[in-house]
Amino acid sequence: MPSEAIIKLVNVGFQYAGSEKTALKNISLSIKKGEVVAVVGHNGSGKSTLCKLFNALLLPAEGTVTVDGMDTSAEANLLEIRRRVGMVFQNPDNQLVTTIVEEDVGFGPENLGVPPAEIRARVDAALGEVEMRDYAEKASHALSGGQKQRVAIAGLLAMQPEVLVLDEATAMLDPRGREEVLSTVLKLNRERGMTVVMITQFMEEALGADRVFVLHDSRLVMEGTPREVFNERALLEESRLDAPAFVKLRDDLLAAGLPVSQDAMTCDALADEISRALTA
Amino acid sequence: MPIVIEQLSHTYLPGSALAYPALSDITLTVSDGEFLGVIGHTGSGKSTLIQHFNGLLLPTSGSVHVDGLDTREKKLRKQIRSLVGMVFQYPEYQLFEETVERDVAFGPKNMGLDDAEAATRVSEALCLVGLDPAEFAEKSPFELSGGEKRRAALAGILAMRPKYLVLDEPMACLDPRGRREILALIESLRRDFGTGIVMVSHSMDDVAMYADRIAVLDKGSLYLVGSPEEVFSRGAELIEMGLNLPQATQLVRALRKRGVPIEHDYFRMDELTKELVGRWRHER
Amino acid sequence: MNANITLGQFLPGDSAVHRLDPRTKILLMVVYIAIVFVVKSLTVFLLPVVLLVVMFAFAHVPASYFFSSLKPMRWLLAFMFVINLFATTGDTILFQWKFIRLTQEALLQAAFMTLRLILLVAGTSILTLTTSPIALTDGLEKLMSPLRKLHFPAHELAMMMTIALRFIPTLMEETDRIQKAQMARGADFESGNIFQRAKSMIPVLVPLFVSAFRRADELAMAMESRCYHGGEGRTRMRELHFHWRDLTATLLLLLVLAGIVVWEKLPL
Repeated sequence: MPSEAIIKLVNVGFQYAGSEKTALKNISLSIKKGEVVAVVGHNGSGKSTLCKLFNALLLPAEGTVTVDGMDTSAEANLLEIRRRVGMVFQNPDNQLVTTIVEEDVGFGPENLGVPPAEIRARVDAALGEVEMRDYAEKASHALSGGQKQRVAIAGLLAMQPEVLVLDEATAMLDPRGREEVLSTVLKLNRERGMTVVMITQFMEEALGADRVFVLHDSRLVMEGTPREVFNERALLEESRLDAPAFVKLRDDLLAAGLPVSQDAMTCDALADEISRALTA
Repeated sequence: MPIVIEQLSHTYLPGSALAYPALSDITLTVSDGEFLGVIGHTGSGKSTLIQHFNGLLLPTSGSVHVDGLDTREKKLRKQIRSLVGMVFQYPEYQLFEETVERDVAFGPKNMGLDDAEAATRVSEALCLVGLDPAEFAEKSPFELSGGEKRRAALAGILAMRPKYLVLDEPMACLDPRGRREILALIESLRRDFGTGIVMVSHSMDDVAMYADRIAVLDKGSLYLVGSPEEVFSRGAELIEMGLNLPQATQLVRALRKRGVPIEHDYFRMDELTKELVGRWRHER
Repeated sequence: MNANITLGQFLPGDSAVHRLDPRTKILLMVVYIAIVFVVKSLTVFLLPVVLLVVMFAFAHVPASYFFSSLKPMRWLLAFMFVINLFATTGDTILFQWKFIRLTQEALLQAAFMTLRLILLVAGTSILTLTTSPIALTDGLEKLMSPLRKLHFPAHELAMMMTIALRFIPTLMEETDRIQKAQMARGADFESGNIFQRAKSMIPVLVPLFVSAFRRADELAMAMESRCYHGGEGRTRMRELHFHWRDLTATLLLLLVLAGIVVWEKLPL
């Protein structure tokens, strides 16, 4: 995996204007190119604030945030940073700007001053990537939640970004919509080397990440592979989080003496381990 | 007395070119103190169905009776709505008053209760949802956190002391602990007050854990209704409809595929764990 | 589930009318409105009526859309008719009962005013039915852009329109949901006098406003994330071009206008 950092935070602190509470305290982290990173934390832990620092929607009060070496607090870098770091938000209804799907996908490139013929080509390609080409001329409000989020992703792809940040983009979706969105971004990561940052409430989603960051009360309290993070059950509990159900099962089986691998954290992996242990 | 739904059909915009049949021929009973889970793919008619429970929607044909009261009778509707509490998805979006106390009192006041009785109901409901009246009653609902708003909105329904509580995805967008707290609250209402619960949820694990019976909706029809065991033993059909299975059921299926003969259709992880550990010990 | 609103709805298609440049269509609409207002007699109305039928035919819009565009206006139309019927004075009495008097002049005037309103609504709905919202706002922006020199916010206005059109269905659904949530808490929107009813809307309006503000906030953030920074340096995916058909359509309509002006002046 390439080790070049695309997003880097050094000693970042943040506080909302007019609020006494600090939203983020002394956070240092780096996200590498081509990596899938999950950020988990309870409601109000600061994870949404954190991801808004990634594309200069918010600027740090202390410390620095850099994207591809560009400081987010320098006004001159603003558009370039936002082009590179695309963001999908939670509510599918509040991020599509225009009524018709393809016109919405063209919105970003239009802002960047891309020539019309190229916008057309980018829009068609982006809608193809998210498998929404059949809906190009449809009204966006009639789509399902998962489809709306895929259109939002296409709108970012048309700007040719390096990073996709999903700010709880699956929270309001049904299981099928969640699956559609997740498989779309993971495919983009596999096939295009897209860096993906998922902020999520669903621990199961974090299992698919290369690394997991855990936020608790405005602090970064843990960082590691899913296996490392979900092994810290006590720390997770303290951060008001839960391990995925299959991780709990794995631990219960281990405690009872069943020889299952520590790496088994999904249904299929665990089924393999259990059937081996029971038939051995 | 139960909620009795007989041969209910509902068509949106009937008679127009845009007529859209959302429900057809649904017969279902919700007994006193029962926990009924309602599952189905988005667009299967779940929201349309639950809005019939308190007369927000009226049957195009068929009937709905709440404790013997027909929802089609306009005069009975107020009474029906105080019997059946309805918690919509994201109920925090219905908060509107200047203080939490006044917002929670909205339902009781509409029922015609006097100030003293309403005040009793308000503090009772706030305590139930875990918001200390001394701390929260005078606050503006708009300055609460997301989870607190959700609970304040819930209190607004509970203050009407409904005999039945209908909930549409009550845990959506909450963190794991928030989800657990709301579920625990719903379960305690049933246990302590005998409140009948109808809960629509996409989380099969939650439904499997708490429901006495589960109604499966598919394309506007009642596909199946039965105990969690009966419903989740028909996993292949549920997957066909685009539904998920509880995680324990998923594992049972994965194990069977690998030749591990598990006879019982487990749908709760704790029971499946016991079975697996038992087998392991037995093998040794 | 409020799907019976045709006003402002777009019907995608590839007819001659659909392919006209939106700027042409907006200008033609202005001419059409002028025609409808210039006409002073019921007989001359034949011309815009024919024009309307021709437009509907050319646009391949089913007649049912004509009627459903009028449906939300039915009470206003009825009101207009009745007001004109009794507020117009005349000599040719058709019917009299106590102080109620119906004259031929009033009947004609009422029919005339109602027809004028119908023609206006049906004509403008042709515009919105055949022009996508974005084409409409693009056209408006382009037409208003000379005014930018006078610091007129042409782009901003067009963007506001785009967003408003996009959010109409969302906010309608939301209104329905909040209304139902409050009805479930015993709110009554149907009884009482006009003041009580207005007051009963507060539990709907407050959450609706709160939510509209939240949506606006989130949308602004999403737009910023997608590099929106005003109209400066913006390109458009679809550029607007005038074609022969735009010229033809304009000339035709101007001819009709001239014809009507002449006809009105002729002592028929």
